[in-house]
Amino acid sequence: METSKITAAEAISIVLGIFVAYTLVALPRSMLETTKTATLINLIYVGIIALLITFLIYKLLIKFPGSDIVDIAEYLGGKTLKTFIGIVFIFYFLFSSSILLRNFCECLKIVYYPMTSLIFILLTFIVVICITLHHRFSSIAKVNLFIIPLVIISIIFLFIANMKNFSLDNIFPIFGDGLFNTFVTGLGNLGAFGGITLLYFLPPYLKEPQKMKKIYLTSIILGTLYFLLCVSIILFMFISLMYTNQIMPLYSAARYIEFRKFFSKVRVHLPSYMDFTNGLLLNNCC
Amino acid sequence: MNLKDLFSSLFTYTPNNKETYNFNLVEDLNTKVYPDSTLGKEGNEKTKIFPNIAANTNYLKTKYNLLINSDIIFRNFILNSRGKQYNALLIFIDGMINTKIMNEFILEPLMMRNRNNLYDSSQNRVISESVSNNITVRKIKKFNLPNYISSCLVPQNAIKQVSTFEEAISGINSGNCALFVDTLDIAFDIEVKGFNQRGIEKPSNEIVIRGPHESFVENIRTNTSLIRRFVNNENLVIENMNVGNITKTKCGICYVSGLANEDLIAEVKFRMNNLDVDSLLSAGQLEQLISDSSHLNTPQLISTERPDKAASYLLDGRVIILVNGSPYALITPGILSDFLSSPDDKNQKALFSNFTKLIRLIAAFITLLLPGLYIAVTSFHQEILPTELLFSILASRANVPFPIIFELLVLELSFELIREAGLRVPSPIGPTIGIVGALVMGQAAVSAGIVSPILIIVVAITATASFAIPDYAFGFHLRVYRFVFIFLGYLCGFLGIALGLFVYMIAMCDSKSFGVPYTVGASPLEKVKGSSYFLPPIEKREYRSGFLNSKKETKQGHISMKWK
Repeated sequence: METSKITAAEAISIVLGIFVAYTLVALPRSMLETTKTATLINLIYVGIIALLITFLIYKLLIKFPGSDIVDIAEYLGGKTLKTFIGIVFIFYFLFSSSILLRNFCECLKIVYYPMTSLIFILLTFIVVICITLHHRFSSIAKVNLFIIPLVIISIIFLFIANMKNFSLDNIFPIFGDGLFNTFVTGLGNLGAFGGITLLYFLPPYLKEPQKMKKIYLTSIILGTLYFLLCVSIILFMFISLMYTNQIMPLYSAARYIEFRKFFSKVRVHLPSYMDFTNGLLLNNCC
Repeated sequence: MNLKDLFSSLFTYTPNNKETYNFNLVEDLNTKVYPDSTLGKEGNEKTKIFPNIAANTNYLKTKYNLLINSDIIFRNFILNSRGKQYNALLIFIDGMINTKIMNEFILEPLMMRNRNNLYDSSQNRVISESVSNNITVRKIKKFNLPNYISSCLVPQNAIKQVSTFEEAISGINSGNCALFVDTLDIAFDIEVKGFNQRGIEKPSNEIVIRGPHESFVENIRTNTSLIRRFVNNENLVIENMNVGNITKTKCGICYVSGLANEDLIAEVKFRMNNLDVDSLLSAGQLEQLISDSSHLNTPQLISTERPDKAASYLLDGRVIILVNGSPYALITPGILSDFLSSPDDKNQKALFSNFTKLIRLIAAFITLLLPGLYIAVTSFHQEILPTELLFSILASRANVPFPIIFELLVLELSFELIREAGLRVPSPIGPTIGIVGALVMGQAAVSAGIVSPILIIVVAITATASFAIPDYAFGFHLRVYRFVFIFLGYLCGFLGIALGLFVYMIAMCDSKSFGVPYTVGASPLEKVKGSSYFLPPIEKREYRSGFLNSKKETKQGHISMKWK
């Protein structure tokens, strides 16, 4: 596959694409299950940690200009380390994308295609992945640039449209199940920033390597803000008993949008965005 | 025929001995009748003109199949020059030349006795003479007949000396005449074109409100003159090139030398020089021959019949290709936003242009997706519709016996049939057929319960939207690909459409046109100078399209309206 370079905006949108894909399935719910009403504080806390980790990654990669983690592993430990690191990352991407695909397809089956066998829904995505992998990486990045802003706008719309259903009492108690749960157990929410793994592989693809720091930090900051938005929607709308039982919490939140009669069924649009972003994530991982 | 014969022909068997005429062009497809012709495979071999007129005549008679060719004229005459007489031969194609020009400016000056021809001096002119030690030294200028003929005898504005038969024949084939003179190993290619051609008319396919109303014609020289009038600068370069081993069609590569990227010019020339085709008859063929391969078959060169549009792109730093015999110019490179732009956009205020651009963008989405979305909504996502609308659709479909996909495909294909038939219907009844086909058939189909009225509306809106696309080829592309989305919507609903759109966008982002990404500038987050889809106000259009990397980045000053 031809290696072609991507711009800063495209790189940021690729990383955000991974964050977005996870949030649309079940990530907000799993975060809320862990830290309950303290999730917002916890998100800010893990966001700062993620920012620090990103900064460390940047510091590592800046020493090896134009190289990704596998090239660095080869430099440090020869072919053995390179192979090992490569296999680790391959398995990571394989498992994470497979699990995401499976989760998402199951949700789709439950909501829209109850009579359809799961394998057919899975195959649809797999066919799409196989087709898009024949194209350049920069093309996938460019599509991210079109789709991610639309998804973010739709989530903002979801937030604004549901504001009348918000209950600020839902954020109390503000530290949830306690400080230990919020700041120690809640470290598990760092997994939401799984998109950081992509940062290891971006340097060879960047058209402007001098902007690497800006790309990395902007991605994490925007990702954190995005998570805050998604979690806020669910936290303010639903009580804890409800959001722990939701299949796709954001989809459930969309069901409550009403602008007169016509816009009462806006939730149907959500899966389209989800299909896009899942396609993006799966392609990015591959 | 008598009764007995009639009876026998009706009731008895009479073997038919008459042989019926049965012509077969090829008896056996696996057998080659003729060996491969060498026509068009002459390559770079050039045959020099002979100094003997008889040899030249015989060669050209063989070349032009004079015995069977009816419009090739060989005119032998005696050429008078400086009191000497030479056998001469004039060759031209009847119907392609201007007879008056040939008679008055070529035959008459060369044949008739006039002061130049009567000048009876010695052939060599003494320029200077000096005598020393009883030795006379004369500086002589030898008489040069070819220069004398072209400089003094033939008062024709375009006359060229050629030394090979290929050059002479090329000139004859394009409508010039060739003059051969005995004892000269060169010929004269003289411009006498006078074939009938279409005059400059209004553009038929790119109509604008405020822009000029001239369009290109088939003659390449007229087209280059139209472009020159707009550009009005000596840096406009028009390079000639011949494409086609047999037809040797004249093509012109136009660019402004101080603006266009050299690599782009070189790439265009490289592609055109490396075409191994026998003939090139239209710009459309050339477009297919030099376009990058694209998975989506999107047009990658802009095709226009408007000289103002061509000039506008030339001044942006692009390269224009003209093809003799085609009233369309090809502009390269072409990106996505170009195919949704109209020449009138720059003639209006930015607000109005952007409004129409937005309409066209919506029209493109409607053309591509509306039928697929309709079928997805009605098949999978009925809950998206308001209840009253849902009841209305259900009621209208209650009497339709066919599945919705069949209904939609029948309507779409019918509309395509009407559109295709409309191109070929004689113009007096063309509008009538359109009205009959669209209205009457549609109404009749609804009354008969074959299709639902809402589907008629969906198809009609889709068709109208497709007409709003300014570029014909891009509109065609959208019309073809909507069938893909129809199938995806029918099979998988919004999931199919979303994933199909995803693949479509990736394929489109993957396409390139002469090294430029197809979707450059399409995203508002992608900052490329001078190439956003929506136009800024005119005072802010400082930069040329950044993706062209042209030699001059700015096209107007930072403060262009200095009077303000």
